[in-house]
Amino acid sequence: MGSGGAAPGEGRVVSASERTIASAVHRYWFPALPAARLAVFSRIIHLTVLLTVFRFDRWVADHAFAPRPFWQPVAVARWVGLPAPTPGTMALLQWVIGVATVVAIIGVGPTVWRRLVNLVVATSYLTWIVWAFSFSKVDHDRLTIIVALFVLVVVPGTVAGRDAADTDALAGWGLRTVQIAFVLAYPLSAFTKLRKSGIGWISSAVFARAIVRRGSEFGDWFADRPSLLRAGQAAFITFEFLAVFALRRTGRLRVIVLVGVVLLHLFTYAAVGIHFLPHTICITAFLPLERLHPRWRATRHVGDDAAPDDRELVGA
Amino acid sequence: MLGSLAMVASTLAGSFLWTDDAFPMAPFRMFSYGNSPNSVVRTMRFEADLENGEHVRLDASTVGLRRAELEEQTNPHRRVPDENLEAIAAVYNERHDPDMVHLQVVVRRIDMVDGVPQSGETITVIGDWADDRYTGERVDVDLDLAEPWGGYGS
Repeated sequence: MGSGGAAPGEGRVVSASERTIASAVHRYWFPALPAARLAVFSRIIHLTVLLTVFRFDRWVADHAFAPRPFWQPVAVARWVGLPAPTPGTMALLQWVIGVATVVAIIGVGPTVWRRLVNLVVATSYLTWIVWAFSFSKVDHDRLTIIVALFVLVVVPGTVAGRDAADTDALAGWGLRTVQIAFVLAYPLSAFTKLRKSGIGWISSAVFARAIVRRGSEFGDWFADRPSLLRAGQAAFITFEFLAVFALRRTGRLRVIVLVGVVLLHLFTYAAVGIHFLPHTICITAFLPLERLHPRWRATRHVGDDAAPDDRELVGA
Repeated sequence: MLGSLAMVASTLAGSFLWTDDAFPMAPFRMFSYGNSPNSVVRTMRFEADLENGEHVRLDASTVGLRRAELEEQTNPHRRVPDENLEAIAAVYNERHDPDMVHLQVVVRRIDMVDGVPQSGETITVIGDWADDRYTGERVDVDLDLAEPWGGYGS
């Protein structure tokens, strides 16, 4: 019988190896990170919601008058009986998102109130996105920010009533969850490419097609260089798989992968004009954002390496 | 932590098992379809005649749609149903002046050879609708009528 076995009539004995695994799992999912980091992250995410709804996603608001034969509700819309948007309901939703998001960014009040505000933002933004994608075209750049918004319902991201430098395992859980959602998008995108097109995706003309459809000066330069585009496709899908290394807790490899993610998105934006902002902004969940928090700055010297669990910092 | 694990599990299920219908847990399928280097690239737009005689080219955003949404629900090899065209014209006319009296859905096709887009393009009209006020030329679209959209099947 192994050391973890239980004798008849006795309580189960937890082995040392089980304790080690449980401890490692706990350290990974609940790293002690500064609460101020999540507080800054919360404001960044809510500001992004505000920008997308009132600036970048104007096309969603335009769905309010789209021809009704094109309304094709996704499953979640059918389940809750969400009707197609009208000019009135769309304007109302924008107002709700706008007011709730500004309140969330201002970030005052007790924790329960902030949870409630964040819940209003999360559910109303989800409704906005469901209206966006219920006309037959689903983009895959929204999952991470939706996860972030619901994480902020559970952990509202506040340093009220505490030292700004205090660490918090729940703040760590929230940021870790967002990091995982962010990173998963890359290997799963690569997997979907192989699932839909096989290994032939690499030698296909998928980049050329995207450039023809959404061209830019930068992209047009590549359009006449198919070998370069194919090499780019090979590098792209390889990098998407390698992005899982960003799930490591620490280390240079994680930093390299995250820098690569930024470069990948810059290339995509330059070539075909797609910024994936609601997704890409979530890379900030990896950064030592507490250094931007006024109260953290007031109590610490910027550049101090004394933050608890600094191993979680990108670059550390 | 259970919530996190549920997120991970449903994200994986979305990629391995589900379709876009499962949004937000849909597969990450943008740019996942690799086309042959010797295939064609198609885009769609509207061409319209207005009540004042002006002929205009319009993109889908004019009527509250993204181009990809129009293209996803419009088979480029089939005739667009008149009721869809009429609904598009009605939306346009609600928001613009002068009225649209004639509407065509146009497919622009560019050939690719060895992955290089060729110069020149082929234009095909797959839908033609007009109201009583229009007296100009029409295109007889000799294609089978499009079936209703097949849903979020892939």
